[in-house]
Amino acid sequence: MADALVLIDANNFYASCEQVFDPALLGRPLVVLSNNDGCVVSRSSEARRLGIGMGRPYFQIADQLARHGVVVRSSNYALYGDMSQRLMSSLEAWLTELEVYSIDEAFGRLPRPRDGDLSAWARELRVTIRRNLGLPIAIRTIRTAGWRPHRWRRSGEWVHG
Amino acid sequence: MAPLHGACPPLRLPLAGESVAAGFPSPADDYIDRGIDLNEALIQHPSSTFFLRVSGDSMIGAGIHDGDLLVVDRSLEARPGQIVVAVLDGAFTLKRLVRHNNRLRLEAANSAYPPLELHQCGDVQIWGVAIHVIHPLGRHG
Ligand SMILES: [Mg+2]
Repeated sequence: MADALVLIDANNFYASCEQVFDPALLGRPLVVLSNNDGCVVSRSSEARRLGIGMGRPYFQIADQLARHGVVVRSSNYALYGDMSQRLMSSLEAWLTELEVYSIDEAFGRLPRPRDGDLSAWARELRVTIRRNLGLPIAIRTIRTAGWRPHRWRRSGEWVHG
Repeated sequence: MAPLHGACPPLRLPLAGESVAAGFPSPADDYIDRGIDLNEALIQHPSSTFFLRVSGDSMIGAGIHDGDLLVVDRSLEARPGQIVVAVLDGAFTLKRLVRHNNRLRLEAANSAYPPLELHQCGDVQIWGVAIHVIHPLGRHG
């Protein structure tokens, strides 16, 4: 049977990395700013829910962030790079082939289970990465080979485990 | 506690052939031929192992001092008797996980700190299991 192809993507990667090492940030609205605190490059789920836009210049929304009690962090790329390496090397054990696509995304190949259902595998992988690294990840299957990565990213099917 | 980052390349140091006369049981025979790499000796699961800096004296009785470096493995399941990094009320705390009267609690190794009964704490999470402590013996250099 054909292999399964998956796209694995860490959720709110920079914000999630910050939360791993500062538990006071867990469950709080949090945004991470780009170099020189230019604009918003990552938002925790709570910040998304407040409608804080991705890529918004910080100076434009500083008041809004303060009003909502949003925690603001400068980016720490050494930390995110370290966590990215840990994530990718952890994923290797779960896949027969791994293609790192960005700091928090990777394509993977694995033998498709007999019944074709990846949800048990995906659930176990998510629980393991959450425990070992503290990071939430999402897993999507890709039905057809040969698509370009930027299209896969939007059209993959979620695996809910 | 604060995280420290950066993967270290292996640094293999030769082991001295003679044991130190301080009740040292044996000169770690398994390392004599190939030297010792401390990363390899201290870390079984590199991708899930983190270094945390200890602050405070609540674990002093377990030989863990303020400022020591703690090696924490998140992939291990915490068992009673182990020293764990827990998250309590949004802050890290380092304690021993203990089963007491059939209930789990977090105990300091310092009588100044009362035990925390897990069933009485709101939201407690085990962040990782402490597997080594690196403690400097006085000031050097
Ligand atoms: Mg992502």
